[in-house]
Amino acid sequence: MEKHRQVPIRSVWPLLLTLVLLVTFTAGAVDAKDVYLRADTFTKTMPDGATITLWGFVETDDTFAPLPGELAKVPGPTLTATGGEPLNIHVQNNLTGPYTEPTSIIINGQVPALTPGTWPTWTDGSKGPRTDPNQRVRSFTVETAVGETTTYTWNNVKAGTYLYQSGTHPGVQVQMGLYGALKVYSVAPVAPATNGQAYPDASSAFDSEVTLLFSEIDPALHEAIATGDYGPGKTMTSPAEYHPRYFLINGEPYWAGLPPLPAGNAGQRLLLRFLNAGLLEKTPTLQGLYMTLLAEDGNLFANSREEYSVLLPAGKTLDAILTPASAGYLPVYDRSLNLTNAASSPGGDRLYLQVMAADQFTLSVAKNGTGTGTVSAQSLPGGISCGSVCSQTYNAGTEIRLVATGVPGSLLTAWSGGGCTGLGDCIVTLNANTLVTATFTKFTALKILAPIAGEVIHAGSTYTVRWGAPANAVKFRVRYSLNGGTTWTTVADGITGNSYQWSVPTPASTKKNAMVRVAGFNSKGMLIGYVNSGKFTLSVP
Amino acid sequence: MDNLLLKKGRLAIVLMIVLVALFPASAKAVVDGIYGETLGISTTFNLTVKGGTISMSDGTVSYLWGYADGNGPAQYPGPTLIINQGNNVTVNLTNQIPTISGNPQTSVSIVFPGHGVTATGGVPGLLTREASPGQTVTYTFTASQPGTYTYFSGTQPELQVEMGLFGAIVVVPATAPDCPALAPDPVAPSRGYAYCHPDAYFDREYLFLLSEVDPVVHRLVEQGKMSHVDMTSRHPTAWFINGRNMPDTMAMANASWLPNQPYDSMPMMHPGEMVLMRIVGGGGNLHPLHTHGQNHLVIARDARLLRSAGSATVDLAVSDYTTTSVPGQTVDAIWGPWTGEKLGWDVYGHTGTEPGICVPGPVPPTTIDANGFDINTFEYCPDHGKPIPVKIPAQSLMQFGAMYGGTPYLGVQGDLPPAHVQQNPMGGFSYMWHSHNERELTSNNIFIPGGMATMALVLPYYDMDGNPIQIP
Repeated sequence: MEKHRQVPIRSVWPLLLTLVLLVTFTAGAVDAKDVYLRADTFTKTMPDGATITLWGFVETDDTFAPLPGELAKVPGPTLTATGGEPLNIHVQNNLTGPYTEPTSIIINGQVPALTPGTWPTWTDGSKGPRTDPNQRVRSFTVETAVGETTTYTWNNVKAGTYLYQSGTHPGVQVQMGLYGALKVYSVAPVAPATNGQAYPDASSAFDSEVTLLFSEIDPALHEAIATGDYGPGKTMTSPAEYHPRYFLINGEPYWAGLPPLPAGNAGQRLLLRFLNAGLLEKTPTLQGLYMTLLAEDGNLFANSREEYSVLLPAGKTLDAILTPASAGYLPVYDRSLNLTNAASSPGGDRLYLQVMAADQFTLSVAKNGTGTGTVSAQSLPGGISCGSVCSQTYNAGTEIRLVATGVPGSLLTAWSGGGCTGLGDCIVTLNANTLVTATFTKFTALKILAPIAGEVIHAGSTYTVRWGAPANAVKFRVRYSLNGGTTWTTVADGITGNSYQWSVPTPASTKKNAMVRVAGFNSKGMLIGYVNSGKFTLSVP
Repeated sequence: MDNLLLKKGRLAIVLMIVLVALFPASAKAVVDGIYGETLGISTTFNLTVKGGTISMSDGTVSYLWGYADGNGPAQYPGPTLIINQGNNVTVNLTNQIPTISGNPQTSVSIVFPGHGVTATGGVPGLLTREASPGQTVTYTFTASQPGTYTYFSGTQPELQVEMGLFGAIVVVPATAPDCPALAPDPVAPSRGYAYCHPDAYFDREYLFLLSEVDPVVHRLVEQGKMSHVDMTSRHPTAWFINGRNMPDTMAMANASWLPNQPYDSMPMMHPGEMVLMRIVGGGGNLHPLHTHGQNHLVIARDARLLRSAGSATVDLAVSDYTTTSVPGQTVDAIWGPWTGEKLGWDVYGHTGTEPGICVPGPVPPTTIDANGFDINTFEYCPDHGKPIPVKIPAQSLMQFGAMYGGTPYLGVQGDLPPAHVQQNPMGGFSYMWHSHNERELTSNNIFIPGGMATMALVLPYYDMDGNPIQIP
């Protein structure tokens, strides 16, 4: 303004324009940011088929109608703000089901606007000053009853990475899913650019960022809440017994269909925001790279340090900068070994960061044949489980190992596309968009698929014997004969699956009448049949 | 047994002190481990995964999957790989894991956090390439930065690490000119250094690879009941340092009765020496490792010095009496020098006539710091040359035991009462170093001796006859 006064004004328009810009800018800086969240009850299906009832937030408009395409989720939507800005979070409690509770929102590490309306709610339901020594806090801030709406205000948010969560009965409500990430920028990215600065210090400048929010699910509590079996006099009276069975990053346990997370380009500064909304400590670990630790609990370190993994205790947030030298996939996994989905592996706290290559190709999977099965990517970086996720776009040159798993009675009998042949896994290297087709065949009787007849198998090698079997055959015995079936030697008994890696014996001389026999047994251990291969040569050098 | 004996011992060693006191006979120790085959700057390790047995101090055993050095036995933990900085490392891993009847065959692998690894052979897995039964997979990397690292299975790690597939790596810093910042320690040229930095000098180094076992998991695997294994209900009941529970931690390395657990954990040092603790989180849980005697200074984490950018000193180092060991992370800490400060007598065994110790002067160039310590030997000078001021009490007034030798005075040994067979080893002081999670001081609910604990020994420089005491 000073400058404008010193130059001749030929028109009022520049001044007016300046004033308009100034007013706009100033308004942007003092106007509060308003976020509308609704707490909902919903269900989520886990990779092993279990259905879990969750409480989660959905972002809405100012009438608490969900924004287009938004559904309640765990964690809740990632909220963003800019340091110094006031923040209003408007919450509507829309929890449903046989057991509900009043809820609220707190942000650990951010100072809320202190008014009588934000004082705790006591165990007798009263609000405001504590009037009775028997009163205990049941909500850290004012609660929002089912059907009600409350505005929670922070007058001056501080830059950094924070967890927002329910401040009411958090022992239950945080486990149930009422939590999420808040990113407060020092300099926010301006779309479509992704660069910004996390803290008021140049060391926290980043080219792109990823948020990695860890949490857990103990199905027992969710089941009790869903069936109204939680509370005094019920089967579950408190969340004290905690045995989590699912371990989540950004709400998802690892499974073969989980897509890699885009993480910027090679040579760029990638900001990793780690948050732990769970109750167990986690150790997010990188494989070959060191990250520079920047901040903890939203506080910038005076001096950074380098680690390839970080200890992330319950409730903690940590920020780190990573600069990958080349495109590729970076596994992030929990070295505290929470790596299963209930009893099944792989799963749990594991995902892959995708440092984007210039060229991207799509791998698509199709299935045909009389049988039924699943094709899944069981190598870094996953991303296919077909089933439900039958294509994924990868960096050029990525090598994927596809594993075909038939339902009982079905088996992979052929691959086509991607250069894949044979009956084992399909290892495809993506140098173009590629379609791989798996043929599953339904078997009504035992049939040996390898060896068939006429093969030359070398003594001392490992040979994979394969067979198809009807659905009621659950265990198998593999034997071999060196004399055309006159006498048999057992290789292995009680085998599950449809193949066995046979350590081929070394007889005194080459045997041209070697055979393999597979016998199938049902779940009660009864023999349901056996079948012989044709004759092959067991070659002794 | 009284202080006359002590004086007699001292008279015999005055000359020897003149020769060796400034530079104690403390050739730098190295941790037990394997060096592979080195040709030029290429180092090759051939590791095999095999089955074996972990012996625990409650008398039970647990089935083991362990990395073996070539055709050797499975080891718990795997062999410590000792590598020179700058070398190109090749690790060939062969899968000889026993197939359990009725179960899918098990692939294995190794990941090396902190190193940029190229894998060849085998098949692609979720963290790296894996070896199916009978297969070999090869990992190569350059050991570009010195320090303490770990390796472990990248295949179903929650089960395979529990079963024993983990180990430690020591990358030994280069010498000049690749480590130009480091001149020989002026006090003791024989001192080693863990990093190319003077704050990382040490006289002796010891590994503390911490892990835990849930025997139920191992039993299910041994019995082929893999479908019953649920790692979310894992409940460890045995805790280990270098693969052993107390008191086995204190048995000798390569003890014949522990064929799959070759590494001991018996830190030993003389007064004034600095002990490098290489602490590695091998299992899946946090372990608070606690040193009695004095604090240790944590100088590095994940093989990177705790130093702010551009700093000439390890300025982010922290002094702790308990360091939390994190799964898959490493910590380097310096315990020492232990000086016996203000005991009121000379714990170094000096008579006070040794030249250059606690006597400021140009030859040798000795000074005494503001706190009264000789800057070379770290000896507390007000106590220099002071004999033990009291008579050793009568036997009937003393306690005897393996780690408490009947006298509180370093180096003093003597007659044993009936029924006692052992004094403190070499008349040293004993300090328990252990997990400060008290539950981890047990093996299958049996309290000390048990669990994640061992004894550190401060040993005198000379025995009662004036002969130098050598630390193995």
